[in-house]
Amino acid sequence: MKGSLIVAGCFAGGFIAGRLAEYSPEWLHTASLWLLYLLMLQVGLGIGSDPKVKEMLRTLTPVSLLLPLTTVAGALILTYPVAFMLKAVCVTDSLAINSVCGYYSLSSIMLSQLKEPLVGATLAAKIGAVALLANVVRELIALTGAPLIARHCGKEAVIAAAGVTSVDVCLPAIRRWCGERYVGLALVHGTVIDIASPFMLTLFASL
Amino acid sequence: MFEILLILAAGIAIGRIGAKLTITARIGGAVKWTVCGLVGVLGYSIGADSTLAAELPEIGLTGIVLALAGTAGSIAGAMILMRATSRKGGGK
Repeated sequence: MKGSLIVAGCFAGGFIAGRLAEYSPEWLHTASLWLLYLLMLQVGLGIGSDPKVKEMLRTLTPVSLLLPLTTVAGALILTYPVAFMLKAVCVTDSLAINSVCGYYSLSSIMLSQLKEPLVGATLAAKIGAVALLANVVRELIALTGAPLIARHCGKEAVIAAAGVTSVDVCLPAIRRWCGERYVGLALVHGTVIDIASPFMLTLFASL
Repeated sequence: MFEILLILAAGIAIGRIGAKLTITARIGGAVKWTVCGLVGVLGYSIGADSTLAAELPEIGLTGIVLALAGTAGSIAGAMILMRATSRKGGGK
């Protein structure tokens, strides 16, 4: 939760600075592209050096593999018809935004960078902002709605609602409202979506 | 676009090889600062564009709608999966 507030604060701080400056220098776009490369390297390092990944691969069960699949598939299937009603972003961008199930930092940054050569800097920044807000709100829904979701939809649904954040931010809530025996499933679920996210974003952004 | 995936793959490979090295952990652990920098730049880009800044309410509402759709879809997917697997388990 603290991490989400820090990220929101950075976005707000950048926004205020932009409003005051009313000018976006060209080097800023180049710098953000190189920062994105650095981010991808760091994300890869994190995945590759995580000792839990190897352990998780050994304890995989059919449900632990299917749950992240249904989490993402369910999100995409329901996003598709809703996306036709939205004006701010197109259908494929909506699918890209919801394919990462809560990965707000990567989705906003990657999408704004990937879309910039295709749609221009202004629209790309808009798509990035929608991605950031959509996935932050998803995390908040999962955190605050965990007890209700657990009671009415089942404990696996709490993990699904958390999406990629089932591995970190929402893990304490999962532990509390689902029980200790769901922690392993939550870790696998979040890690699988974490690894798949950059590939899904690239796929949908290129459509 | 694909250079991003290549860098990610390279990071995973370096992470696997250098898993025991402190520097690998340090570079990977600094990801939150990179994220803060990039999100700040994103916020700046929107703030500096007065047309975009004026669209912030629409951007916010779109984000909320997408979040609700995505979350509901994921929950539904999990419920269908658990119903299907428990039905299969009950038939044995």
